[in-house]
Amino acid sequence: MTKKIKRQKNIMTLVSIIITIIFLFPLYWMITTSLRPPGETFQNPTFFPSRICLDSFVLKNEHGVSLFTYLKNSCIVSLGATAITMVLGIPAAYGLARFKNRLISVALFVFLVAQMLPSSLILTPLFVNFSKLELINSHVGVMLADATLTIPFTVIILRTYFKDIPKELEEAAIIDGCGPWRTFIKVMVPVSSSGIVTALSMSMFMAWGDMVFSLTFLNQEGLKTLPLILYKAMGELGVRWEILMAYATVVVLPILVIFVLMQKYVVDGLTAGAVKG
Amino acid sequence: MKKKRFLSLLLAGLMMVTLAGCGSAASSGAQGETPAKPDAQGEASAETVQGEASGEQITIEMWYHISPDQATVLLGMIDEFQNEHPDIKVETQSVAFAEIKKQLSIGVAANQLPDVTLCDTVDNVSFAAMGAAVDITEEVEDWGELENYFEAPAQSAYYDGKYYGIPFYSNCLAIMYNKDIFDEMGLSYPTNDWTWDEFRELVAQTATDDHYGLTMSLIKSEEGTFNVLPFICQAGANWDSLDSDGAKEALAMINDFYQNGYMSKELISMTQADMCASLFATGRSAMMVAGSWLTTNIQNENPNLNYDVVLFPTNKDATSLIGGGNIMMMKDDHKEASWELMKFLSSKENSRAFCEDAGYISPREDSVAESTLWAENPILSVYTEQLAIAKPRGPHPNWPEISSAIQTAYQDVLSGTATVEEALTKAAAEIEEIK
Amino acid sequence: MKSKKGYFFKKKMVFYLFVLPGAVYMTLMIILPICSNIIMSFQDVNLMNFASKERNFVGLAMYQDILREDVTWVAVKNTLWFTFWCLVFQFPIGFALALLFSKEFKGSRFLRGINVVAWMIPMVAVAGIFKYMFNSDIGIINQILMNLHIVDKPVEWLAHGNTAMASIIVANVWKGVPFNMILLATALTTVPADVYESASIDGANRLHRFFYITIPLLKPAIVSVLTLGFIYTFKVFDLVYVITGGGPGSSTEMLSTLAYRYSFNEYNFSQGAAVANVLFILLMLVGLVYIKIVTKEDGGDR
Repeated sequence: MTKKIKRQKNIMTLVSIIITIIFLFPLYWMITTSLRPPGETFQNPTFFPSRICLDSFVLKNEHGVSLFTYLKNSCIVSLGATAITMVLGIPAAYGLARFKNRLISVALFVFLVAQMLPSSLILTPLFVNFSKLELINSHVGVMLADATLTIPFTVIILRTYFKDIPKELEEAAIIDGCGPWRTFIKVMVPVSSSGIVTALSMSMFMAWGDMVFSLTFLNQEGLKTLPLILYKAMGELGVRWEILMAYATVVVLPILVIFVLMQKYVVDGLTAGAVKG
Repeated sequence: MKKKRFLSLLLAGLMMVTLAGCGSAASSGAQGETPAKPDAQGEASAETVQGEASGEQITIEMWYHISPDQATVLLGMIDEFQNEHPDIKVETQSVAFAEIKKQLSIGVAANQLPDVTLCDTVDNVSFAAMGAAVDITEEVEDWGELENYFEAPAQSAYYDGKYYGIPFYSNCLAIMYNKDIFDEMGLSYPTNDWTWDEFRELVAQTATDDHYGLTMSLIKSEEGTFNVLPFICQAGANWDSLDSDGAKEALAMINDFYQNGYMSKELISMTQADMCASLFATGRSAMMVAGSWLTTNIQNENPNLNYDVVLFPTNKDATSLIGGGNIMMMKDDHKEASWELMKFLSSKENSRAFCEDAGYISPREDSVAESTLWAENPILSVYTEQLAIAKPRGPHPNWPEISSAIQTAYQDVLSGTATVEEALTKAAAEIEEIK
Repeated sequence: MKSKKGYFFKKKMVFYLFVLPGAVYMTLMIILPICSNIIMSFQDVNLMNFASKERNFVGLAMYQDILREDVTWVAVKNTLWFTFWCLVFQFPIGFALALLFSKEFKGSRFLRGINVVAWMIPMVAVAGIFKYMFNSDIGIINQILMNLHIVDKPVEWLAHGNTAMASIIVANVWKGVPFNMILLATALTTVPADVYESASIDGANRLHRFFYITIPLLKPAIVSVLTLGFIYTFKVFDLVYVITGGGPGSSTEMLSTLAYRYSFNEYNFSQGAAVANVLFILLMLVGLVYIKIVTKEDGGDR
């Protein structure tokens, strides 16, 4: 019996590995293409590059801007958007989880609607307002716009998370004489740290990947972000696939690394919060 | 272990931010105001035009959409301009070709425009009609240089009796062919007086397993319109007569090439630069509908390619379409300085220097006459000849919509969604409404 | 018990302060732009009069206009078609993977986690990778299909309406499967093991157990995964914009790309806003289901 189960488990592992290999093949293909010598992408594809060539990772592009500048810009924008999300989203999630009346329902409705909105639809009005506030060609503008995607996401994930935390914990804090704000900071935040880390890292990934907002709000070469450069390169370099895939690799790799490092938190927190809504 | 530490660091950071608001319940409301400026953003907020006060240095902003290679000479000229005019500072910004229209249009909406910009020739009139481009008729007339320009490019800046721009560079399409392929197959090269029948035959003959017969951009954008419309004009039709027999004949011919595999099916999503690099420059296509600027791309991809260029074949008409770029003034805050810059860039010498370097043809007849390049260079001389008989695209203030109707028509035909007849009838009706 | 009630009641104003900053922010950034979109769709706004405030009120003319255009209906059909097929593939595949990965075996957690990576990848990168893989001349997909003798000559994926649609569906499913998988896998782990045990004592076979126990128990999770999947798929933009740009012809034109094209290629902001509102209304119809789920579950524990 146990032997049979053991064999079954081994088969499951094997099947899972095969599925994973097939499923992650596009990423393998992206990375290997970026390592191919120039011209090889015009030939019929082979599974391995003929030799490893790092030429495609152009450190300085035609505009004289270094790849690290774009990397830095992407970091600034995604961390900024995450900071906004943290400050506005986490308290809101808590408030929505613990309190209910008509006005709060309206607020919840606003967050839910916001999550459904395609971001391309609010481009024009946002652009007009941002230009009045001089937020065009500014990372702050992109952060503020990105936060419209990440705040609703965080609120919805964390609200469920907070709801599942027994109220007794807060009661204990209240008996100790803490106000609501202190209770929130001292009790709720530490208890739900895993959910918070999840929501914030997902927010960071979302802001990292945004193309539409930075495409519209950033014109100056030195301010642009990585996804924007990838998109621009697809128009300008067209068929130089090894270079395009190198850009794509640079866009994807940080996410890959952070995600693998923090996998446990992200996946656990995500699933705990998101299932119900 | 590491993960734990990361987590606690993150939480510590979180605590620090949130604890600041702790203590009293009232201060939690203030939380909402902090995020407005999360990170130090020194360089961030747009460097808008300063120096309103006279005597101060004036800053004007200029956008351009040409590729970085081509921009080198332009930027050099701007440096020179700044040396000559120490009181004027020019800030330049590169915008992707595909994005400049959008950036300018939302710029209009938000009242955030550069002083001066380059734009596609076909868009000059649209921006004029929208009231976005500044009327510079008076300046142009004082300048008096416009009579030195070719007729068609000059027309592209003219709307409703007024001038809204200066042509900066011109180009047109013709047909490039791979001499090696023709030699190998024992075919004689096409000549400038060839007809559509000969053209059809050569496309069919040169399409083999090793290479396609013809390459042209059929993408769903202005580039595609630019490639398809010349054939419609050669058949005696134009954008305003798409339901005529000529237009049908032209589109049917392109569709035959496409369906018979004489052209790559990928062309439906390829820009001109893409198709040049992956098909023509690599020897995978015998002929290509191409503009002179693509010579630079070929040089970069495959300097050994043995190719030449020939005028478009003739059907009812011998013609091509004009493309290129104009300089527009978008704001009159610093009209004098902006106009100085426009004049400087458009001078006979600068026009020539820029166009020669970028592989274009100068819209100035006097520059072309002076330069030996356009008369003697085997490739560019053909383009100069083709330009002389080329027609303007439009001009029409609603060109983007017209072009979009044309694009839908040929893409529907090529992808098998509609017949030539259906697609063109529909497009003609749409354009009739736009007119 | 009493103290808790009193506390929450007395201090309820405080909770507004938790919610308010975020809600105000979202109102300013999202709700006002939606309103301005709605207003714009009843006016005739183009570049000529965008900056000035004098705009013609045209009532429903823009809506009549777009409803008369074939391309609007094509876009509605394409959007629904795209969403339908994406869900048809990503949900069962995600479910199957969830069933597999919810089991405990060597490496199950790690493999489950690593498969979620696809969901995190920026859309523009996904689009770039798949555009390359679907290339007819040098794409790996044709190469594999030909090596396996499934096709004997290269398929021009992006050149024909149906295959172009299939390509963007594949790309979107690739990104959508992990999302379905991870949410369903977690829901599965919440199903208590003793439910199955008692069922197998009763002699129920696997299939029975799946349909009569697993599915009903997972129903809330399934409904929310499907509605969320619908919302995310229905509003697709980046992917289509980058891979096909709506082409060839209008065969992959979606409501979102059409709205974008009207506004930013043809400068017809009112028409763009009208299409955007049609998209929004359709989304809201399904969105209300989702909102109802979220708020209903709310009522339960109060």
